Amino acid sequence: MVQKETIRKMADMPALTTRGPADRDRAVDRVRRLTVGATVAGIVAVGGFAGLAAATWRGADSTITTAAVTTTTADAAAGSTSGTSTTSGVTTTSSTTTTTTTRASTATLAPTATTPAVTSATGTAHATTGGS
Amino acid sequence: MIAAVEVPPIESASWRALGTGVRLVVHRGGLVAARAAVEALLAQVDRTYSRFRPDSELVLLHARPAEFVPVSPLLAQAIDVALNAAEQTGGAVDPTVGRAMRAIGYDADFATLGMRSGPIELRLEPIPGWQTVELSRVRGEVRLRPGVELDLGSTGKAFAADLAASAALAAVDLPGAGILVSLGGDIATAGRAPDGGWRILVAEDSEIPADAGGETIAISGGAIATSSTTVRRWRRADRELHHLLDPRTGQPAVSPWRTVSVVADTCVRANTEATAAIVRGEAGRERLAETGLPARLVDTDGRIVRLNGWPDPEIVA
Repeated sequence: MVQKETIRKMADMPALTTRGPADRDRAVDRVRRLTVGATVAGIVAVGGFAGLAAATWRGADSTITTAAVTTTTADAAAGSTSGTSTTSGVTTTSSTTTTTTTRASTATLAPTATTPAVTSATGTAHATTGGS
Repeated sequence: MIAAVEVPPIESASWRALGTGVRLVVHRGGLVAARAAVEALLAQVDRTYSRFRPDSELVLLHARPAEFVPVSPLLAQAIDVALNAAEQTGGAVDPTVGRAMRAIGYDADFATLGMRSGPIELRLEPIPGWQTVELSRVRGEVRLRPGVELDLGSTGKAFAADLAASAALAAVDLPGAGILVSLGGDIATAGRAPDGGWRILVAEDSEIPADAGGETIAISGGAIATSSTTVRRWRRADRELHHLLDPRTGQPAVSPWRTVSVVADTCVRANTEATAAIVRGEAGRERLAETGLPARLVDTDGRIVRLNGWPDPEIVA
């Protein structure tokens, strides 16, 4: 049975509606949480992200069944600034054959919003940003 | 006697995937493991939400409108990210442009578009809108209205870059290691940056070699992304087209900005803000300034505007 409150559905509304700073900040925070949450969900598995490819839905509500068991992972945002890997706070329970992960845990994974420092540089670049 | 441990230098590899150039740079070793991780992840992304693979999960989802369809965790998350980007930008970056993208002729891998030159019928009509997509996060199901097609291009590549950088760092598993992954100029980093930061050449075309010289910045981490109307352009009859669509018209956006680069904590956010700035047109600059994110805008005459601490190349630290 579909849980009504979990369905993302909104009334039609015109595109490009004007939003206030508070709306934007809230949405930005949500995107950030989702990105990190998705990263965690994607990487949680034996062999880094191997579980991602193996992940399948068993069919039960709020259950992601993967072929792996391990829950240690790297946090993209933390790694980007500190260079350290962390064990995530993802809500995960393990058995010998399955791992059950709930997305509700992403609320606890929100990293500190840190805009990277940007400076001018000289020398050969490591990569190019541009349109593609 | 203690043998000196030689710290591997910065190593890099480049190849193509997802229809674009991939560049992987590792700091302090682990290139082979990192590349294997990135390649496997990108293959999974391609199988999951490519618009151009008839067997991709996204294409199969389009074939089942008006019903809740179970989707993989990766597709659910990619759609979730896209919907939130749409909400964040007030619909300026909207994933329901899939059908409009096909209507303007972008219905196959970009490399093949140049082979078609016949006229094309263009209709001005708003896209369905991200509000028409129903996503059950708990059940991992998606329902699309009939006629709605998703194109996750605006966030999907950046999302893949974020995932790939994290996956590569986990695969390397070396203390102090750092990773940079560029997918067509959408760049995500993870781990420790080299001394002085990750040096990024800022260009309008991501295919320009990193050693070509030009405006170069260094970022301490996080991500940088660029959206541009100067690349991925094609011509049908007398009409010049590009891939950044205005959701209000379903047509290529007409904007005073041709290229926008943004630095942010994640590649998804950087690319979302860069794309939104172009689509918003005149208002793009002001809205981007409000975000506080370092940004560089190039207008159609080539004039450059730098915002929120984006460094002036004349002043080198």
